Amino acid sequence: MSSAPRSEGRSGRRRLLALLALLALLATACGVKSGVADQAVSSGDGDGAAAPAGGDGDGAAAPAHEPGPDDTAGVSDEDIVIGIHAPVTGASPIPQTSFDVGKDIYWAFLAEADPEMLFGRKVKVVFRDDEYNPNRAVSVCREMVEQDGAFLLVGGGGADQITACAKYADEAGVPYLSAGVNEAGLADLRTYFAATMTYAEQAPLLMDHATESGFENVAVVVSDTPSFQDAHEAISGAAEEAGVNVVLDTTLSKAPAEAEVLATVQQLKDANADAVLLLHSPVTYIGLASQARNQGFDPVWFGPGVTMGLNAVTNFGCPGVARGQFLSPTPALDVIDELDPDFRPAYERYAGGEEADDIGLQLWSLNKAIALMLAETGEELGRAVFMNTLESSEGFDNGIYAPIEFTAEDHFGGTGAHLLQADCDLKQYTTAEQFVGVG
Amino acid sequence: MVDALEDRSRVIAIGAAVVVLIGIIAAAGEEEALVIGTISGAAYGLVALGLVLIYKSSGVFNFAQGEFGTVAVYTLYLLHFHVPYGVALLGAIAVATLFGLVVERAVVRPLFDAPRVILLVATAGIALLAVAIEIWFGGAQGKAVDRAFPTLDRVTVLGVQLSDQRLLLIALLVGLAALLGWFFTRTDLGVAILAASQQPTATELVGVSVRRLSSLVWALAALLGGIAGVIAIPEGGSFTPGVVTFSFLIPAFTAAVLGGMTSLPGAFLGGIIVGVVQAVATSSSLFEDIPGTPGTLMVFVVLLAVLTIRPQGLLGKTA
Repeated sequence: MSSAPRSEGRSGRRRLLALLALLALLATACGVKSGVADQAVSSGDGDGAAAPAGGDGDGAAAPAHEPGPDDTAGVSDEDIVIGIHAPVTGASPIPQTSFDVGKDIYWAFLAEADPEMLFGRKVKVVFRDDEYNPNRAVSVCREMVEQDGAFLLVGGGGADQITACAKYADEAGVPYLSAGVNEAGLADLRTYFAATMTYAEQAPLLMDHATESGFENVAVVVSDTPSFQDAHEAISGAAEEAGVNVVLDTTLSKAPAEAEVLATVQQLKDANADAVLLLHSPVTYIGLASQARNQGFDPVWFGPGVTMGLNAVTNFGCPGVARGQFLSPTPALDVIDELDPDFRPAYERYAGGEEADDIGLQLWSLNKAIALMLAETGEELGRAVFMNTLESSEGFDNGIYAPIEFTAEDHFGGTGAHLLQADCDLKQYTTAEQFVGVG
Repeated sequence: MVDALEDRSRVIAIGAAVVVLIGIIAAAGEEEALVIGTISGAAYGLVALGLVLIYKSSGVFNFAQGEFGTVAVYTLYLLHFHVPYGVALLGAIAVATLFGLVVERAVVRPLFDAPRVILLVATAGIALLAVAIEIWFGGAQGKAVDRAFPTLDRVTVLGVQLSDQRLLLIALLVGLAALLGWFFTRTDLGVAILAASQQPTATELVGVSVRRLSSLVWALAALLGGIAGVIAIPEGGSFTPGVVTFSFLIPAFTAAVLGGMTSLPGAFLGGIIVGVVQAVATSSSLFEDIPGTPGTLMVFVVLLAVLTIRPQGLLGKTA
């Protein structure tokens, strides 16, 4: 053999090894495991924080929040700056136009309808796209606090991003609010507050729903991310307690390949599941539901909110998602006039011609809850007094969410949810039941 | 003569190994995973064919291969508002092919004499640019796309329903792999493309325009990517920006390396193997205790095993 072919062989091998290394890097980057805990900044105690105040506290009262050096950052006599992050690009995008319009509507309405509620201050909202990426979420949250001077941060969606940013906020001593997602990684954070039920808290409601609906064989499919581990355990525990017959309990990778989706569908079909409790991204849900339909398999898909119950899912997921039923902190638009007659008129007045939609309703509801919290805190607004108010308040009722109740030991404030049902004729969700779980 | 005999014995050995593996998987009760792996692997294989085609002719790993498919899906989606589905389908494949030609003229040809790694990075840049343009035009949200054939249950194989669209995808993969294999071994043009990739100067000296051949190869690869996109993606019912890149590119690269970067039948075989391994690892109880994603993990285990034994891949020759 001459030396030339041997050299070519070595070169080819080097190329193959380089490609292999590249593929391994790409696979890691594509989120085989998100590893939020490792990606986020390490959880500190925040300024003045001394003990965790999560949902599983030991009963001892946590000390009050003490003002830190940046306690009143983002607050002036005229303004309060709020920073919101959400994925408007990435694997689970929220429609950007809806978000851009919706984030300001409630504050514009409040400034005109009741300017004294926040003691003459107007709320200025800063928004950043976290690209459905926990690292990016930490980066944009830091920007909003350090560059834009946000007084508090709000997570608009995406469990891993919320967890990552909440950890940063805790370290920086900045209040952080979001709709309820996972509890793992968030329960020990003193500055994190979930305004609606977490996935784990929704588990018993979902099992009650399964029992009442007469589902005989229920399958559970959960995204393989550490953030969902507590929710997965809660779902399994709630199923056992409710006596629900779970025929398959499995995880599916965060960004599953087509073969994985098809194999999971086949497992569900073989298990003869008549209902599938799903906790995953909307994109994966639509893929699973479509492929199931291709296999002549049409179970009820149900699960916790928020993102699965967005109309974007029915817009491009129908007819596969026609049997979807998901809990949500807000009802669908069909009943909003009864619960909050200001919502639609405010949209007509301040949205510049954009129609009211469910993303707008989610933002309206969260902002309305935050306004109640700011109002109760009083005119002398600071981060510590704001968080102390949340912990000591009897509760906040915005009329759309179930009442929000925090304590010093429990920052998961949701007390109920709404059940939404897909309607593929209308290509949107409708409200099947209001205030589920509210005693 | 000796080479031909070695080739034949190698193919027979690999074929026998594949048959034994199929037997083991079936005996383990995972015959459904075999079917699922084959049908999803067909899409990987089709994208892998395009990758191998470019690699054979220019020695470049084309990171933009998936975007040929995504551009085709977007075109199908947009055209179907105005023209019948069949016309939209052909239009989509034509636009993808045109996109391949534009990429070749605008990016590849100016970098013709540059180191291959520069071209590799350039193709990654094209993919990112294409995804950004898709988001710019249509937003990041998903869109529904219709399938070409409505029949979902044409045949049921080992409990898995196969739609007309799936059957077409498998038929296209087999047909195109065979056709391209014939093209590269039996036609002057195919041999000229191979010659241009190995000895460009000598090829120019005998009067063959290497640059013109490059256009042809990129157009062919884009055509394959476009076909993969418009046939495979509608099975899922919807798409998002970069859908073929994010869903198929990594499995397709793995398939191409597994099969041998220079072998078109190898790309076909690699695609099926990747699909079957993913499906078996996902559904088999054997992998239940593996933390993380057994489907992805096992693909890389198989890839490492094959490359350790045969660095050039199952059916590849020295790259």
